Order: sequence, then structure tokens, then C-alpha cells
Amino acid sequence: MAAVLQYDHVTKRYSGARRQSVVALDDFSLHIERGEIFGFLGPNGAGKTTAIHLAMGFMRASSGGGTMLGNSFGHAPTRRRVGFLAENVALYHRQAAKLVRFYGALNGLRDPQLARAVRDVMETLELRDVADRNVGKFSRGMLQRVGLAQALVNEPELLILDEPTSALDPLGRVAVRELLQRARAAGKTIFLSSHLLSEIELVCDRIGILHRGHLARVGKTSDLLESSDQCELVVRGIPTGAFPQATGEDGTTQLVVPRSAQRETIERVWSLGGEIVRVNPLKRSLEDIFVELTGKSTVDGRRSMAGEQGRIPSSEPREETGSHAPNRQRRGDS
Amino acid sequence: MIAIILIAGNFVRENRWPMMSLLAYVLLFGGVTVFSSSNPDDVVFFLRSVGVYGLAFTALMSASGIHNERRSRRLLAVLSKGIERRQYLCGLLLGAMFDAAIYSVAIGAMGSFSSRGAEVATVWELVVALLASFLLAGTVALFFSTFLHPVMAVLATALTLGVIAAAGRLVGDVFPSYALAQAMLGFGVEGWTAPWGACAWAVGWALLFGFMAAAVFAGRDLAVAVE
Repeated sequence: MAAVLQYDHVTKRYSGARRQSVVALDDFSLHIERGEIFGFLGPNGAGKTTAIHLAMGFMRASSGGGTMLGNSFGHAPTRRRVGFLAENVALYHRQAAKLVRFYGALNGLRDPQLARAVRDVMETLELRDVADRNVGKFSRGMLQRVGLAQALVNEPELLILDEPTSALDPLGRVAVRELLQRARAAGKTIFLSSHLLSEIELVCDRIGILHRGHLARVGKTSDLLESSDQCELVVRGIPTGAFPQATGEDGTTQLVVPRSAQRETIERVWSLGGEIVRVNPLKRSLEDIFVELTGKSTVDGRRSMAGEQGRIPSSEPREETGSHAPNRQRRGDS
Repeated sequence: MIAIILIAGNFVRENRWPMMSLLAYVLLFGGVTVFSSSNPDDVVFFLRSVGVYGLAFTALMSASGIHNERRSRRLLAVLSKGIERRQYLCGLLLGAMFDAAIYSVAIGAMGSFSSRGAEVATVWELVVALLASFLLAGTVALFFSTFLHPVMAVLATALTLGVIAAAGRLVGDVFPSYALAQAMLGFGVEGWTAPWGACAWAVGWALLFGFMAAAVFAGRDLAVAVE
């Protein structure tokens, strides 16, 4: 499938004070396919915004390059087919509808198509009631909606969104999630950078995790979350103490065993006169994977597993297609 | 072209309050000078001084355009659209020149009114010379602002115009800032005429600095700072 957005061995260095340079992206390669929602994750300073700004042509790569909708990064006419929302959106202080109209006109839209597009996008983002209000008086959440409106007004083929829901309330997030899903259904491609892991987990087809300028992992969301080597057996009718690691609840016993030992454990349960209630593959949360890869402590202060088995050579992102060793698991659907 | 006009219009809108303040100054103090003084030299002095203010205003406005947009991050939303960076620069310059033109016309109107019918044509010749000067100063300031802080850009503009003036004193109208400055300072003297040759050269220099600004701006990283 043709790549809508492609990075080929991109390196970006910033020159800092005392002639020290900071490498924001290091030999970064990635391709985004048409019609997918791609989640772009990474801790602060990982290089996510740099990658986005390179694609939009706001800056030049130190080496390497890439294409967006088939043309090199920075190709101005191509940007007419792209919708972009920057992190911490900043807009001119004008009436919301006039502002969206201004950005639409910059992208080459003209009346009556422009008027219709502005009306539709204001409606979609529930901005019609405030269309005549000055954006300077908007809350951050409302401002973000207007930012989304200016990104969507030209009906882009590719949407590049940097933290699009960070300032939105739960209802706003649901609305944006639905909007993204509708956009995907309409064949649009979405490149979504966010810290909100739950949002990413819910809407993205594929996920890439960036860490210190390297793509640490990339793969299908389902593969990433289910790539566990362990499963949970729920059984009943076995003698207490038959499995030292078992936990009991409501007359049932839960066993977490490696997949390789699943058959053997089931046979042992049967031989003990027990009954298998269910077998669940264990799923990890995106937060677990994120913490594992980026080496950050979680909110509750747990130390990460980075530097141990979870870390991978950074220049070779692991394409997630099967199973690999997990760290912490949660129960998945059977 | 429409994108350039849109950006220019937006620039004018964003700078409307300083512009209106300056216009109010010209009209208010111009009116006071015209009505309170019977000495024509006072009016000539007023026209010369507002000409110099206009020059400084144009340079400051042009020099701060990119910096303000970049610092506020509004630049990103504009340049994420299907426009070239050179179109964006043209828009800024056109906006600054639109403001300069309004300002010049206000000066011309005050000068015409105060002359009471005599030598009105020379006042409008002065307006054209002022516009040429504003265009040169604005473009040079815009060029320097593509890679310098606005304050430094204004200083660099003053220095550049000074160097051009020094060269112009030796060579002539090819380096137009000397002839334009002389014309501004000599306005009101009998037999004064606009330096048309210098005006034409000023437009040529503005084009040169405009192209240089576009070339430098095209290669600049606009969204800076490591996250």
C-alpha cells in the first residue's frame, strides 16, 4: 500500500549553546499507510513534534528526508491536502467563523465551496453558537476546537494532529474520537500525536513509540497489546494448594501461566478433577508498553523495566506482529 | 496572489492600533500646527518630522512581523496551509506598505491642506519620495528580521541605509538613501523637486533585499526549541 507519509533515515540536530548540538531525531524511519489512524507516542523531548514539523516543512532535516502524499517534505501545494493542528494551538484573535474562513481561503478554497465548508466544520465541532465570538475570549478547550476546525476546513486527505484532545473535556474527547473514526471511514489518513494513551489505544490502528529520537517500537495496536506470552486460566474444583501461585475468588481459582505451559496446566487441572471455566490471553495496557520502552516511572512510583528485558536496540524498531516477553499484564478477552 | 492579499490584510489588522495611533498623531498635531501657526516653516518642519517617524515606524513594523508571529506560534497555522514562504513574506511586506501608504496619504493630505493651494504638487511628490523610502527601509528591515531579533534588525537596517547613503554621496542616485534623505530634509526650499531617479533605484534595492529575504527565510527553521 502506498505510504501517505514516509520518513527515510531522518536525522535532525539542533545547535545549542556553546556549539553543543542536540539530536532530536536520529536515523528515524517510518511509513504511514493510506486510511489508517497512526498513534505517535513518546515522552516529552522524544522528538515527536520535531518529526511533525519536518513533515510540514517548518524545518529542514539535517540528513535524510521523506515524502508526504507523494511529494517531498515542505512542498507547499501538497499542504493544501493536509490538515494540521499544532500543539498549544495559537490563533489570531478574530471571530471564530471568520478565522476558519481565513485559513480555508489560505488553502485555496473559494466561495461557495468555502462558505459551505466553514458552515459544515463549525457544525461538526459544535462551534455554530460561538461562530461570531472572538477567539481571544475562548477557553483553551474551545480554542482547540477552532484549531481542529481550521485543520479540517479543507477536507484534507491527511490529518496531522499534535495533541488534539489535550484541552478537551470528556465529551469533547468523545466527539473528536468519533470525528477521527468518521474521517478514517471516509478514507482519510490520520497521524495522531498524543500523551493520552487511552485515546490512542481506542482509536489507532497502529502505534509508534518514539524515545530519544529513535522509533523504539511500531506495530498494530492489537498486536502490541496482545503480544503476551502468558495466559490466565480460571478453574474450579481443584484442591487448595495444588498450585502454589494460584489465587482464589468466588469459588474459582485463577492461574497465570506461560502459554507454553498452558496445555500441561489444563491437563493437570483435569487430572485433579477440576473444571476449566475460561482461558484468557493476557493483554498489556499501552501504559505498560510505554513505560517499558521509555524507562519512565509510572504515576504510582513503580520503577520501569527499562534497561532490562524491555529495552530494544533503538535504531531498529521492533515491528510488532507476534508475541514477546511481557512485563506486567492485564486480563484480555478470551 | 489572493493568499498574499489575505496575509497582508491580516497583518494590517494585527497592527491596526499602532497604525491608528500614528495616524491620530499626524492628524492631531498636523491640525494644531496648521491652525496655530502662521509661519510656513512650522508646517514644513512638521512634514519632515512625520516623514522620519514614518521611516522608523515602517522599519519597526516590518522587522517585528516574523518575530511576533513565530513567538506566538501563529506562524505555524498559517504556514501549514498551501502557501510558500516567499508568499508569506510578500504578504507581510504588502501589509506594511499598505500601512505606510495610508500614513503617507495622511501626510500628503495635511501638507496639501496647510499649503492652502500653493505648491500642492510638491507635497504629493514628497509623498511619493516618502513611499519609496518606506519601501526601502521596510524591505531591508524584513530581510534582517529573517535571521535577527527585531531590535537588531532595526539597528542593522539603520546601519545598512547609512552605508548606502555614504556610498550615494560619492556615487549618486544608484545608492538612493542619500538622495532621499536630502530630499526629505530639503523639502520646502524653493525649487525643490522629488528625486525620481533615487526613487526608482530605491524600488530596485527593495526588490533585491526582498529576494534576499525570501532566499534566507526559505532555509530557516521556523519552529525552534527542542521539546
